[in-house]
Amino acid sequence: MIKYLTTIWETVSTMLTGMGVTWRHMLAIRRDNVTLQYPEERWPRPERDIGFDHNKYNVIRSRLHVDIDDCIGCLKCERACPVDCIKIDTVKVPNRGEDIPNIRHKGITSFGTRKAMVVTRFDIDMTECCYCNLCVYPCPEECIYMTGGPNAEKHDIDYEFSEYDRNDLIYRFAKKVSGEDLENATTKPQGVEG
Amino acid sequence: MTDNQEQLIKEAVEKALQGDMDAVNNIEDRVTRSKAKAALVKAKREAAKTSAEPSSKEKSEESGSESKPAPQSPNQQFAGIIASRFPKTVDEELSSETHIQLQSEKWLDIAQYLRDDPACLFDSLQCITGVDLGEDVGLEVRYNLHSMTHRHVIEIRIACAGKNPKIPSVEAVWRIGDWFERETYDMFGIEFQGHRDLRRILLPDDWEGWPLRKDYEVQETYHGIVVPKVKEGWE
Amino acid sequence: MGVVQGDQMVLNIGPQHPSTHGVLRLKVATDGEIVSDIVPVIGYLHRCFEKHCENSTYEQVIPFTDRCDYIASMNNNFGYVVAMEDLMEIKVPERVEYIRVIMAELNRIASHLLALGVYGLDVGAFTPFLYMFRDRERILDIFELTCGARLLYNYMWVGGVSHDLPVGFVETVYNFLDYFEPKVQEYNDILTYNKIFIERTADVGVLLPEVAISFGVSGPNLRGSGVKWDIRKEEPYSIYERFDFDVPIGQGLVGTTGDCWDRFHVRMLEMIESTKIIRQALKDIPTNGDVHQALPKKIRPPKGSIYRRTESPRGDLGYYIISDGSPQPYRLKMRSPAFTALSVLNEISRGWMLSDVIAVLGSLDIVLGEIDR
Repeated sequence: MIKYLTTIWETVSTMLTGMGVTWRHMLAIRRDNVTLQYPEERWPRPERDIGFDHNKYNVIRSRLHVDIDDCIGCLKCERACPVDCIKIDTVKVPNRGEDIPNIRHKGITSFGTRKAMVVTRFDIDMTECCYCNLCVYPCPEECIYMTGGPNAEKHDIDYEFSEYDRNDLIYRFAKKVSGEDLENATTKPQGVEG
Repeated sequence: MTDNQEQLIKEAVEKALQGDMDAVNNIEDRVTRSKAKAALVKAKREAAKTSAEPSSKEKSEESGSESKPAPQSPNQQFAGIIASRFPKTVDEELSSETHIQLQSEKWLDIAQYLRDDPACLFDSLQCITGVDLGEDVGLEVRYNLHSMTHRHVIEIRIACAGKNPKIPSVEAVWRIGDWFERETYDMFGIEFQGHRDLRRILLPDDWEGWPLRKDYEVQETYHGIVVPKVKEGWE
Repeated sequence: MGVVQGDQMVLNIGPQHPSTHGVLRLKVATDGEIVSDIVPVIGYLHRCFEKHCENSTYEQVIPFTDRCDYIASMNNNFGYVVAMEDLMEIKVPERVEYIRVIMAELNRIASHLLALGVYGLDVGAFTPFLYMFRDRERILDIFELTCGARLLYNYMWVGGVSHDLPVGFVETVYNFLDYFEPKVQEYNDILTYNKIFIERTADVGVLLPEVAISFGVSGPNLRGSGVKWDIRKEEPYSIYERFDFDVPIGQGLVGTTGDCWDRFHVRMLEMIESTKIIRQALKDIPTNGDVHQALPKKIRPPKGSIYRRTESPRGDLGYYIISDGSPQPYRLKMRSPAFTALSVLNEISRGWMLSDVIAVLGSLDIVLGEIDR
């Protein structure tokens, strides 16, 4: 009999304690509300001071972007990717460091390196990308990076980049040139020294 | 590389070898700076090599004269105990301080002994790993055993070569052997004799082939669905 | 109460089910109420992580280890990195050690919050789930501040970590700890000592210590049965010897030792121990140091093999790595604690009713990504 009554007492008292917690939460809902009404409200990206000045370095994992004029075709990012989502094809240039206007190839990167290759294909398959950031570190020219944060002025979207068609998510960064133009530009002219 | 650059790099590397890194870090041109750093690494490696040779000769002389026996690792101790209890099961040449190499015939009795004997008391089997050591050597199974009371850890390796590799199952000794052995069977095709219910665990029951073997070829279709090797259009 | 045994049938708790913590299929032989046999069928999430690692370099393995136990991915990284550093005999700087311990313990709190919240959901309590997730979000915000990712970090690298701590990290974590410690009292009020919850979980699914050890169960499941076993104390790795913390074990406060309530309670107490460790680490962390200093240029371990265990929130996580001197591992086996925990399900839930099976499965805290790899 005693056990019966103690069980009833324990049940009622613990239920009331639990309900007291939820009641207090309900009364304090204006202050403690954690629901975010997305997409009208967006959670701001954290203001982050990583201890050194950065205008391209973005810590957030978001959409990848490549400044194709800076790419020297070293293939380090392709080798670093664990899921093989980057595909790069390159063709050797006849004279190193020279601009070739008809395929819109700039010969010198913004760091001053003279390019020895034309990048004919630079595809990143964002459906395969696992956002691990391993391609960003080895790039010697810092041309592949994740958008957002400090470079947000140049790229308007960084994490809301869904598309209706899966093929739109294969980002092709290389400049579109016709096969003929490319061949003319990259074969060394015959009968010239050097 | 122009002569000026070479000269600059040489001077910077010499200063850096004496401890002053500023000479290298202050080179303005990125390409030259990276070349200087590479030359510095090379120079340091050369210096280390020439200083390591005479010192290693000294070390071997010292150890020869001392002749202190190195402390026995748990693997060697238990190799001795198992060899005395179960003669002709421990493979002396291949066992070392990191593992014990056993023959597979009496493995169930040895496992029972290792679990029950008061000096050993290996009551927990931590991991069973199957390994494919290549065509010539064949397959091998490695057991990591651990004692919760005495706190010693040993590793036992049992080779099972041939077309149909077989090993006695230790499922009756350590209950977790059940699932671990099923997983090793699933991935390598090693048959564990005496296991109650040896069937695939991670792959579907009608999958063909043993995936973790080095010569595995994935099957073309599975129930009519093509098993893709590379995504379409993405070579 | 006499038990009437009816005709046996096989009930399928299918791969898509809200209470099975992932894609797990259970073939339950029952007569409708009392369960006589359970056969778990796994492999629905098998991605052949081990074969994939044989074709990737050692650095590329780290994002894959994240995805095995996706809830406690810092601890997965930690286990792999500790094994590799033992194999290659690399000594990491002090600051890196402290950062790693702080991240691993924060992730342990996040993982336990998820386990406890989802367990409450399994037995029917809807409120604590959202409360625990709200607090877990604050931890994920701390991780986002540091490395940019919320769930799968790729943070700990062999020889260091990927990003240094941002300025203001220490204050943020202190604020979180001051906010979190009173919350545990709130969870106790609302769930742990609630009579309905106790009736549901006490004396159910008792796991005896000998059975647990034979089945290789470890972590909070083993500690709930009364065995004081924690890899951070027994085979310490990194700098865990410097910290002062207890190892809570189950004592059968409201039922038998080793029942579901004990496992739940052990996880609740472990969260408090983790906050103690984080406070001690934040006090002693060295303020400067280059986190990329000990990163090897190219990871080529010497020939050999190693088996190393670390304590993940689910138990003993072990990595067996065989290297042959090349930049790709020859064989990498991950011994996951949830695999052993699931194998003991049949043993401890036979003879109970069907809804008790769900309670037992939730208390084992399995993650299918780790079981199937």
